[in-house]
Amino acid sequence: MGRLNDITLATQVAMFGNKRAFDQIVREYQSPVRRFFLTQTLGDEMLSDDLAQETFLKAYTHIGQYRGTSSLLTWLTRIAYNVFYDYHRSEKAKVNSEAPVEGVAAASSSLFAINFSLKTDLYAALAQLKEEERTCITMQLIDGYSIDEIADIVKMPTGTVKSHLKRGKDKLANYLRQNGYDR
Amino acid sequence: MDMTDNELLEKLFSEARQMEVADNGFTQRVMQQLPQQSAYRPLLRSRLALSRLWTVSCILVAVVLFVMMRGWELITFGLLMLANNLQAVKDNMILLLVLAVVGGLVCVSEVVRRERYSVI
Repeated sequence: MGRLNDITLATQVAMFGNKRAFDQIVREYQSPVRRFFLTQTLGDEMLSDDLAQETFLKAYTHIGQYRGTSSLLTWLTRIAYNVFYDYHRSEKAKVNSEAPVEGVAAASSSLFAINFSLKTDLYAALAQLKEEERTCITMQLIDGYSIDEIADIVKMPTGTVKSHLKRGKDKLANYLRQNGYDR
Repeated sequence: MDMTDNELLEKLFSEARQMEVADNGFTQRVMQQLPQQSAYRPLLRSRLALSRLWTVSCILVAVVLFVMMRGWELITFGLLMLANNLQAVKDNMILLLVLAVVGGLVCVSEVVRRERYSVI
């Protein structure tokens, strides 16, 4: 969807409360937003859908703040990251975020139209990373954002993003080699 | 042959980049959860009310100034001047009429456009 179309739809929602325009936005962008949460939660479908729903509700109530300087997807990803960050902070008391996640939540997830073994490999590999590393890695290698865009979304200096990317990639490469993925 | 780190990561993520998440009723669930109106609309409505108040204030000031400065005398003087000038340019009367009609149409379309976009 082009930037002009993004702005037109956002204006329709903000000015006229046009729900059909918002329906179009959700339909267009639900896949990348839910994919973002699935990779952050290592395949937990229910949690991902709850967080994605919260993201779109926040987008609806704050649509007037979208200025059209970035794409609507980048703006939604920024909200999604904040929603995930808030969720993670609220859960921090229960889970130690520094430790690698023990299990891959839903490798059998039916949402992704990719094969089972890739899903298992992907989530298992991402489970080796810290939250920030995982966020930066998936934003760059799956969603295709540049380092500057990632820094803007996660509100970190570009140097910090580069460090997370470097450490994350090293960890992933080591993990993949140890598991015979290089053969 | 050993794979480089980048090749390993590319192998893992290349297919993941293509993956699409099926809607499976997600959009419908979101639409059912939407509040009656977005938080921005009351703000917009108050801005429009302010804008209308400003317009009415300007019109009132214009009317008061018109009366105080005897605006009708200025208009009469202007019309007389125009009549004199028209005598001089009577050959171009059709052109002037066309310009007047076009100018009027532009004004009307602008008023209609503004009305359409001010409706919530």
